[in-house]
Amino acid sequence: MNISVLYAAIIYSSMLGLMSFGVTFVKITSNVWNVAHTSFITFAAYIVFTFESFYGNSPYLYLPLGFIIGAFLAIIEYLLIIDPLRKRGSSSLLMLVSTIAFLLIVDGIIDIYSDYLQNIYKFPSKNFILSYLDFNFLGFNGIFLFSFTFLIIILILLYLILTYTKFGIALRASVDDPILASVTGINIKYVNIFAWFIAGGTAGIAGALLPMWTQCFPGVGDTFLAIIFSVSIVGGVQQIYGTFLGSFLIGFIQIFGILGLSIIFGSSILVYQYLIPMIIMILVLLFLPEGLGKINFRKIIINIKKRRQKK
Amino acid sequence: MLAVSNLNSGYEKVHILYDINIQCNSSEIVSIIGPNGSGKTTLLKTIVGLTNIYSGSILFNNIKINNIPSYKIAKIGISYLPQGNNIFPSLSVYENLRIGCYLCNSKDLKETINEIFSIFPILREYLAKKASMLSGGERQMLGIAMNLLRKPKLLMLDEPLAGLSPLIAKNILNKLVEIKDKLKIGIIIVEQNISKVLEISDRIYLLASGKIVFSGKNNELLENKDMVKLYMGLLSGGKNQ
Amino acid sequence: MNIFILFVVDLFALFSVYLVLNLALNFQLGYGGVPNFGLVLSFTGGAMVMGWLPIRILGWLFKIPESLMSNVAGNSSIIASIINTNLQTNPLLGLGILIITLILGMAFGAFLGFISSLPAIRLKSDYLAISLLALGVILYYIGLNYFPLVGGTLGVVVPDLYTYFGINRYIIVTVIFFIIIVLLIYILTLIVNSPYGRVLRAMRDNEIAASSMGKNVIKIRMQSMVIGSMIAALAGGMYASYNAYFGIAGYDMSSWTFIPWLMVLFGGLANNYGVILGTFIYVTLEKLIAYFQYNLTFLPFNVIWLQYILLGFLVLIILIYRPKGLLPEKPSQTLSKNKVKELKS
Repeated sequence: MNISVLYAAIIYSSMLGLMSFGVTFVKITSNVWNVAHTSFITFAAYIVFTFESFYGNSPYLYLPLGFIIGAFLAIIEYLLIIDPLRKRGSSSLLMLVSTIAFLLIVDGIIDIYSDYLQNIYKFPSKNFILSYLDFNFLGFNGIFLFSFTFLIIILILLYLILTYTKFGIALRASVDDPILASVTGINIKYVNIFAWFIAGGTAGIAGALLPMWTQCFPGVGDTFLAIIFSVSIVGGVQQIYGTFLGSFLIGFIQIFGILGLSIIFGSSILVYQYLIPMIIMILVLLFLPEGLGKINFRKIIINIKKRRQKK
Repeated sequence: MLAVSNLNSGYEKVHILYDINIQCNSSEIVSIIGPNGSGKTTLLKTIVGLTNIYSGSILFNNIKINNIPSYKIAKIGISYLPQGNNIFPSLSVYENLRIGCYLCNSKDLKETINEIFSIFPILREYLAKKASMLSGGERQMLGIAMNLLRKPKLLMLDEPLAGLSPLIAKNILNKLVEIKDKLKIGIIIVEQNISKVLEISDRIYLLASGKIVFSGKNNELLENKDMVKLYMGLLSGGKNQ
Repeated sequence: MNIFILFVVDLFALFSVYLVLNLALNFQLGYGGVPNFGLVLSFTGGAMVMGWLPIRILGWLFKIPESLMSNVAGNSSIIASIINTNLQTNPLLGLGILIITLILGMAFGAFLGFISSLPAIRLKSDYLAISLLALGVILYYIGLNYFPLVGGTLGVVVPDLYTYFGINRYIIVTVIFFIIIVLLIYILTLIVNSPYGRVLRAMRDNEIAASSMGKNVIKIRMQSMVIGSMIAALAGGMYASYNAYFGIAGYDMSSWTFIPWLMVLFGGLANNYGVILGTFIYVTLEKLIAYFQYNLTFLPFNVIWLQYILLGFLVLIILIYRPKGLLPEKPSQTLSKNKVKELKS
């Protein structure tokens, strides 16, 4: 196995996971597909670019700012748009449309901002990449270390919060049955705010890392929209951890799959690699509509053990 | 303790309850009975803030609780066990109890939960089990346990005996009387079938088509020939249904 | 030509394209109940046919040398200008090819609509919407990366099929688009007020009830997708023919799915007149902003971004205060007015 391909696959999957987690989390807790999520990613990328352009230093320094801006935008969206609409009993489809409206607003602001940076300060804000500022530690790139580490950190933190804290259990209860949860004394609004905070924050982290990984431009986050939804659907929206599975599955199949295909069909096929997530999504929808997260791995392992014992 | 006056409520524009007047005091078991679709569940849901109130008032210890969100109503001491979805299926039994005790003082947590085991010992054995794996009767017990953990002042149960064998049902009813006496709480039970709760009720309200058609003590109901005729099916323990 | 007339004509052209596209969406979403977030797919499909076909047919007809035709996408501007010169003497040919291409584009749109309807067999509501969104970008990726098809990132020049009319090109476009719109609205109104339209709406409002009455809900949903996609492809063909250019990069999700959604919901779902109103308001705003942006050069940014922000806010306000749109759905008039009078008396 080619190490550099594995390396690229891990970075890609980690970035996908960081980008997609928030979408799934919000869907699970608030029952809304937040299309505006991708604009948070773009915004965070621009925040890092701004600070980098003015103050220099390693872009990784500004990661917390990315988290903050992502969380901030998400909470604004929830409080000003989603919550009022929910109180009016809007359908999940209408709320989806409202997130599109918010996407347009945030994207418009980013467009204006990048124009401003370009025209007034002459920063190359219409198209930039900061990977040249990356560092190397024991043979690993900063982006590899940060993306993978943050993914693991978020996964672990989430697990700890959801399993061992009262609030975490309350969140899972709200997902199970929001009405029962509220008559039990759980303030669903706070649960939702927390969910959007985390979702936006992770989008912010992904966005802050983005310039170290790929070319950035206004609307760069939106180019990942279809892939993010593919990851969410493949991972499934029943289980909170499904996205992480989905992102690695899609990431690895895409990178290794297209590599394998290029051996058969030549290198011209490489550009079509972004079709692979879509294809996987379609397959999953046809055969496993609830996604990967629903698969009861314990049951499978128990069944395998039973079969071995019979022999 | 609880006083509902001239209450009109429903879901959005669908008017379900008309001019409801109900009371429940501490150390009292009140039963609300009536045929299917009469609005019994809506009444409980209205009290906990899950419906639209058109007019009237709900007073709890002389505080109007009309437009307070559900989670706040739980905080002031009203506990509600819905019909059907009354536990969290993907959480373990322990986690369910933990949520039942969401508003508890964290110091008292262990003590409180141990108290519950004295009433429902079987739950202790199932602590790690996922709630979806429990049988119907066990779920009911868990649901009731979750409500008791909150040490409510008013306990509202929507068809708590549904799907339970007569033995377990009797067991639970006895426990309810025990709790009423010990903890001095008020209990409102909604049941379709009066025969089950007749004995233990202090007062009964008969609800039909969203209106109260009878209120009084249990023996008064049986003596009222018209009521008995109209709602014969309910009184005979469902033999005619 | 008078600048003002040019402005109006240009506005009308864009208005027509968006209107046809929005009517397609309104049919799928408002009447069929299918949340098509992959609308851009059929729109692009129809435009692609316009970008691919005329240049090749006319290139063959006018016997353009093989040296150029072997790389149509790369040599598109030369080939197109040769074709345009030849078309100037041949009015019917240009229009004929236009009509044929539009029709073939609609056929391709129908095919794409059929593909898009497959997820609708299993999925509902927002799940369906998301899947269609993901499907919608497939053509975008292929078109962007396979250069010989439609020139990838550079795009291809489309022969100007209206070129015979010289300076009056824009008037002719206006006339043709106007005819298309009127015909389309007429046909759609007929469909909507017909028994088939009633079935559509019954199915949209209560699937279980409709299927219990023997209506094959899935089949009808797929039909509404196919029909809607044909209309969307028509819009795409119109657009590419008007621009005399096709560049896949301009067929993005935002402009050709999200914005139509917002226009349709803003104007009024399941009300074609609402859609007309919504489209008109948006397009006028867009063109006005673009027109006046020269006066606003003191602003350090392109004023076009403001229109997205504006639309976003408008839609949010509508969703919160008037969720049915400016002109909500009216009950269908399945009986003529005279019949109703008769029944009343």
